[in-house]
Amino acid sequence: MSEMLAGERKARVERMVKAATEQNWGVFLRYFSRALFYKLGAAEPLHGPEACRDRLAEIYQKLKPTVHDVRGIWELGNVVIVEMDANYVTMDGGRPVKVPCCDVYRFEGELIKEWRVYPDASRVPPLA
Amino acid sequence: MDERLSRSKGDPREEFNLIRRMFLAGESMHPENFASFFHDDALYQFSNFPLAYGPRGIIDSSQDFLKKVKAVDHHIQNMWQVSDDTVVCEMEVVYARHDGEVLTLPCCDTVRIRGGKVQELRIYMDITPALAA
Repeated sequence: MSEMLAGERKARVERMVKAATEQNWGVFLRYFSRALFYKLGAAEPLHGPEACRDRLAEIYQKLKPTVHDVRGIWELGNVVIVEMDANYVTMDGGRPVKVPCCDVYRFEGELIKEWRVYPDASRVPPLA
Repeated sequence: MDERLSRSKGDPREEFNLIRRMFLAGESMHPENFASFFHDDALYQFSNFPLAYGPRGIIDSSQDFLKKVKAVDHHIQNMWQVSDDTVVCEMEVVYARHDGEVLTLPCCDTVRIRGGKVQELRIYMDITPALAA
């Protein structure tokens, strides 16, 4: 496992989120372990970076990310936590949608191996 | 359970114990017990619901919840003290509704503590299934 400097994991999460919101999927995939565990709220967990990418791409067909209001971001060892209001507009009509959210990332070396998202998605339109 | 400090200053056990006791008080289903852990000007955010302030606001905002849910059980999985005054708590919460339905929902809270009481609690989860008719 490679050594990482303090703050480096936090910076990697920020870069990964930027790649996701830009839907730059080639860059996005590089941040994850092949064994990624991705759990979005109470949904069944997904496994692997491609499954995570597919889920986000599906969400972004309905919602366009705007500015996320980050309330806190912390790095503790191999864990990074982000507390925020994630903001979107609906692709159909431009209605604003706020998703209060806390994300917990666990790293293995320099790669994210677990991503748990705790959102209130109650105001998100149905995805399928 | 993962219980960690982000910095070496202070002993987090006091804050962790306060949070455990707060959730136990919540499980009493008497909101005044839960609300007694909060400062008078505390902020309470439950996901997308309107913000509530202080013990009175917390009690008032709990009334609709109590009509739907008869029991709550918090299963804390991880706690991290991320700064001098802030703890993040990752858990699963079991809700037993009055209609007999039992649901387990993932949840992550941020708790900001000042002087042995809660100054801010923000609850991140989608509780919609527990409140469904």
